[in-house]
Amino acid sequence: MSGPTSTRATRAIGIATIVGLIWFVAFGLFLSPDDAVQRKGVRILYIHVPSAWLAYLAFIVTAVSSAAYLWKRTRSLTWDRLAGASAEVGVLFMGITLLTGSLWGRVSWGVYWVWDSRVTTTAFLFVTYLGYLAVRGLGGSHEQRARRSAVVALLAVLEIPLVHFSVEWWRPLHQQESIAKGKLQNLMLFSLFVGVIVFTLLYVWLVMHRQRVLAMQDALDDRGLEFAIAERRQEASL
Amino acid sequence: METGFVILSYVATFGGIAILVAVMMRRARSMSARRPPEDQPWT
Repeated sequence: MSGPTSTRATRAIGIATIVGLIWFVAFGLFLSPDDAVQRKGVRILYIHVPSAWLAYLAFIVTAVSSAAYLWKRTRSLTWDRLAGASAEVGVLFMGITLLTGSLWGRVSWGVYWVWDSRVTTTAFLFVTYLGYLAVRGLGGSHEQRARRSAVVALLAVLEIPLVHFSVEWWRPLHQQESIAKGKLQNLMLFSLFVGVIVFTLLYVWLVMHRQRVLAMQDALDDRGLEFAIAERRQEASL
Repeated sequence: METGFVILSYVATFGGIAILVAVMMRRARSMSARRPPEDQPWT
């Protein structure tokens, strides 16, 4: 829990996350009942849905931070680093969503993958944010990186409504909203709720650490550039 | 068969998160060793 990017706040969130994860596994794997239709397969839902929620949240935070960077009054590289850190964590959770969805699909539908609207748009969202991370990795100054990746982030976030509403617009094989329609009750709903809370805490913890690592990386790049310029000046004066 | 898929999904999820945390912490330690305290205002 303790490290160079730790503070009292991250340690508190980290401890709460570990306790929550233990609770989550206990409820998700042992304490919640089997579903009448999906039997044990429903336990994958407790990971799949919070992961998808976290990926949405992470990409929205990326977009808001990017907008804050582009707006002159709030322009700061801190927003850019927050956007980058959030996108990285979002890509991890989107990958988990696709993987657990695939395993759940094998249990429910008998196949790992179908090209229905929800699965396809989710895969497209995942690839888009991989592209966003690739754009961040292109060369140039920190400001150039921040500007071009902010534009990509503001375009990429427009895919989220497409993914979310795809189950209503195109009636795919993927099931529709379960929670709002009251299909989950009691301990099953509670297990899902614990998953959402714990994954959100985990997201906050990961992003806080990751954006501090990015800040150190940027400072290292700046100092390296200053050192190189000083070295060239010294060479020229000889 | 269902139990196997359920366990696999939990192992893959927490395994993926653990790998990300390990890589991030390793990078943080390596950066911190090369940076002065003024580049780490949260400390």
